[in-house]
Amino acid sequence: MDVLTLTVLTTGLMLLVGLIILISYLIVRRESSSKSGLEAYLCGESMDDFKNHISLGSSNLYWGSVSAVLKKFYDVLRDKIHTGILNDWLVFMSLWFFIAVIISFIVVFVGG
Amino acid sequence: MVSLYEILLAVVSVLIYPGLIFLIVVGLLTQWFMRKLVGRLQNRIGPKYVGPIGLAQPFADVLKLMFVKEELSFRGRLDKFLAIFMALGLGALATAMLFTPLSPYVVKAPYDVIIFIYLMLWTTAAFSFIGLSLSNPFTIVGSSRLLTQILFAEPVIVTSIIATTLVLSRNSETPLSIYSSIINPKLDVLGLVVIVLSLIAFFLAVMVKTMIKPFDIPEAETELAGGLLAELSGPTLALAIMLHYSEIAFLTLIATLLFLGGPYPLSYGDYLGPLVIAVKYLILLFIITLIRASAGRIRIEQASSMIIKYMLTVSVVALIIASLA
Repeated sequence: MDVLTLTVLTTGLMLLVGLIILISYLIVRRESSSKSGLEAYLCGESMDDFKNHISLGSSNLYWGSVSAVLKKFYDVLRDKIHTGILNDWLVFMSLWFFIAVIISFIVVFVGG
Repeated sequence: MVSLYEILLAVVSVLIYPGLIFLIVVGLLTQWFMRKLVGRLQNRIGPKYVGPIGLAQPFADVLKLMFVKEELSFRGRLDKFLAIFMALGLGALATAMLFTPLSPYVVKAPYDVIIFIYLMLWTTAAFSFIGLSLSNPFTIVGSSRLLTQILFAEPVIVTSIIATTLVLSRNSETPLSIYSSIINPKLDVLGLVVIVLSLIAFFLAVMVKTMIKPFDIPEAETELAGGLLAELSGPTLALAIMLHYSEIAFLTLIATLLFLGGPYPLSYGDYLGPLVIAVKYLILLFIITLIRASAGRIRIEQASSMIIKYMLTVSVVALIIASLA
């Protein structure tokens, strides 16, 4: 079996199992679904009052903790590399290019 | 041309053994083992009433959620979306079991480790979408915490699996294949070092991925009221519980088969082989439960830096050694 056939086969089997679970879930759920608690509450107050006032910014929610953990890394990126000066950017990009050339030399002449 | 027998065998394997039914049963028994052990470690009795020594308690819990408890619906909740992703997550785990020698219908190809990793990602996606499809601040914060945790832990799992298969399936007809690595491992001293390092990284990353204390930050019962699972009830909660414990069972089983050699020193044909696999599985589970019972929850940024310092570096070192060996 080649990788492509295997990908199609496993995805097909995954969809089959998923479909069976989903159908059984919908059968079981129809009997037990209740609409009695349609309103959402937060700490005893209606969510509608909260919805328009307090919410976490998406930058804090999804990126805040990552940038807090990798603070030193981002400090270097921002202050040393992403300064807004074109020369700095050029040095940065040339550096990556230089590293890529060295790696390809190693791969071609030493590895292969 | 694929014969009808092969198609039937594939469907039975993915639905019953070692697929869906097997994973759910092992997952719920795993839940019993963890609950009982944590209970005993904390001077409680643990599950007791249903079945001998409470063995059927998790099954009774799930059945009650499915058939007795009602499901509360509220505005802004994407019920079907939620269920589709959880069903696909369970389906992906059941399909990934076909890569192991436990399955009567084995799938293998060169470089199939990539497909294996792709299947493992579905469960994580399902758990992330639970939080995002409920309009509750607690579940959304839980989901964002899970995504942050996974951002660091998933590379560890991927790197350690690739490093191990790289070493074990060397000189094999199908390189970087999960099946070849498990059934016919080629091992030398350097390979052993790679596997030990990968096992440590993988084992800790599994605890992060499956949200076990001290990494239960997305659930955070006392802080986020259950986080991701705060709004779930009835059949949806039953589905989430089955998905969660099937994932724990699946990842621990993969650690047993891939890193600990499965039935080694016996072979897969030996009738005592499954017993050795079960003992190794329970030892891994015992260590996970011991950490769970004795550790308190840490903060998200502590967890992230812990993953980078102790798991990511170890797994990257393992990968470098594996590529040089």
